Amino acid sequence: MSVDGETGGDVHKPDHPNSQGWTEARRVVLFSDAPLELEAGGRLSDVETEYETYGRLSKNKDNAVLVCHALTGDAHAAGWDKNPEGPMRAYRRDKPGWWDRMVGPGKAIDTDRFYVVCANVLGSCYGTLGPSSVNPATGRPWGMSFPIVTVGDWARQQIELLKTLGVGRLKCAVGGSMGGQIALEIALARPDMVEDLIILSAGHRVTSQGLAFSVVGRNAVLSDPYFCNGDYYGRPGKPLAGLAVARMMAQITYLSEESMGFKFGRKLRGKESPDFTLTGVDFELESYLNHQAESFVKRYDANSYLYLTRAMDYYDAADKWGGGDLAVMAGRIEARTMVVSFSSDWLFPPELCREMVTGMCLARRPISYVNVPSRYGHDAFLVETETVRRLVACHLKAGS
Amino acid sequence: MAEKKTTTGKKTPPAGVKSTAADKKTTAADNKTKGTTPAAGTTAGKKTPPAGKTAGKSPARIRAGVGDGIPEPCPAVLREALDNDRLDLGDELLAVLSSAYGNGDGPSEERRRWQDGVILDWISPGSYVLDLGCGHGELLGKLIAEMGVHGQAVEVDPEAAMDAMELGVPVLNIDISEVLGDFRDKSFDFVILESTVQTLRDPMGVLGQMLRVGKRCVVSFPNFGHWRTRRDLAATGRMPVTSSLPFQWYDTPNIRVLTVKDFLDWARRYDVTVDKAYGYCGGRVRPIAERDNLVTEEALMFISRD
Repeated sequence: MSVDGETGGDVHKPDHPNSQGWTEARRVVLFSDAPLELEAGGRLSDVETEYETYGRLSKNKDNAVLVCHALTGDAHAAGWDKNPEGPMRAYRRDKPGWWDRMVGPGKAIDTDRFYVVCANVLGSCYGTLGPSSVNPATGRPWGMSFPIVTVGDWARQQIELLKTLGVGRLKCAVGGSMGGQIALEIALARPDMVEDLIILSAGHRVTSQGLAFSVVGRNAVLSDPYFCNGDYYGRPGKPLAGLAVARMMAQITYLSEESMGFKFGRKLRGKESPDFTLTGVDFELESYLNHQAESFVKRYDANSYLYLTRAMDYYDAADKWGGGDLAVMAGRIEARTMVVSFSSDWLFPPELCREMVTGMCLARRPISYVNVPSRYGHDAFLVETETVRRLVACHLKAGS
Repeated sequence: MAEKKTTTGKKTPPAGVKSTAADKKTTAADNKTKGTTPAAGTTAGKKTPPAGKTAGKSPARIRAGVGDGIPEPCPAVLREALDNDRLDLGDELLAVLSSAYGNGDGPSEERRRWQDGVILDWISPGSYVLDLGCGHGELLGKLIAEMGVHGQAVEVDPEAAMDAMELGVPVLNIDISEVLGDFRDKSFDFVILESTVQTLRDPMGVLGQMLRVGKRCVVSFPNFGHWRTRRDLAATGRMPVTSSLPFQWYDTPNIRVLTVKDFLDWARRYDVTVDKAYGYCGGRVRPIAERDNLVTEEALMFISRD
């Protein structure tokens, strides 16, 4: 489901033959024997992780596909949540998982063939350890005392999860946006582990503009009077206004001028002429952004938003794995790699994706790259279902 | 399979060729030696020079395996036309050409991919191969699957690119002219530009980049110097339309019109070595020399530059 709820195809109800049907989240406690040494310093033990799996692991254990979710995503990638408990999961009552159009029986990532795993990242708020979890040392939610986590930590978390599931090697690691960065990081950290790599709408780093938007978004949250240094849990007021502003702005970066213009333009909302007020909702676009923000703040934790956007800001795969040289970085990758960008994406623009592709070419690594013409901006990787389905299916088919 | 059979025909050179064609395992060094021997056949000079005298002077030598494919006994009118690469539209010459080379309407559908056969014979297993304009990826898919080459393809048409990906070919869906700068010098053993050069906006730039990133390059193109093309233009006053060139001027992707001779002129001028040349001539695939311009429907050249 795209972030603005637009569907790029039919929604399959749970009884549809191509639907994963009713799904149930599972949880596992990782790093209970040896703690996870965090990249930015500090350590975490007992990393509870929520995940879902679809399909069956083959006898040879060679059919596992890891699907990595984006910034505000979760482990519920496909099918319908059997038990959507609590207000944060209420949205699941009307929609299947966030990549349901790609993952399911007979779909591009065919759960009749593949054993699909999707896990919620460390620091998030969908069943995995994060700032809203209770710190066992204090008996209170971590809040801002939660350590800084990185894309590298997420990769290690997911590799550890796969180990507990008996998966030592991935047929494919795939993800879009932040998920694409995690998939890339796994292929860099463990080149031996990934056979196919598919990166959608993502780069080896965020652009300076992307970084700037991220900074403003966090400032909106931090300056909300109810934020209270992240210690807002259990209080009557929460930093919803700040989080709403952050989401509104982020939403703009997910769309494009063309898609926004096409969908809303300057249309007034149910009126012939504007009311000429400062605070009223006159434009369709205003109403849309308000609505998006409202539904988002009901289902997301402000601290998690800070931690996850920060991790994306810090990520620079070329720095980490190539000392700044993309070709050195790319030379580590053993996976058959496909990179997909979308022409109107200005959050992870084609030029940035192309840099990674150039690195692969310089390193003489085989690479597939498509810049899909689309007007849907960054959201395109979730909305251009037909094209993405075909590309992912082509890549997986060739590798089988 | 028809193509395959045809290309092996190069090992039995037509009358008039002293040398057997260098086979696919010939190294560049071998070729260099051959280039200076009489067995190399024709150098791409103005006239056929006495063997061994001027080879080495002109950079655009066709080094090995040339044949003139002239029918025996050769009618005087044809011998004269070939020697001078001139087409006088006399009935006698046209009749001779038609009977010796057919109607010159290009390869039939099942032989359309004759070039793949020639290229397959030349590429060594496990080598690095870049296919520019791979189309649906049949050639590189085969090279990867059967010969274990490290393949990389470029194809600007997204549908064709996805077909190629399905065959296991890594494809950059980018315009050729925008991608070659991404590769290091001599990072490929072979670079293939099959039936594409005539469609490029900047062939000079692409050819130069190809020679930079590839140790050896293959370029093939429809030959506008073929006698039928010349006759049609001269006789009808309209641009020829054949099955090799089935387009009108207003919808043709072939925006660069060139002949075997033109290509060799370019090679001479820019210090490019033509290691070997093949042509599709009158239903046969065979090594060609400059003087086959008149009877070559499609040409394929192996080129390199140090």
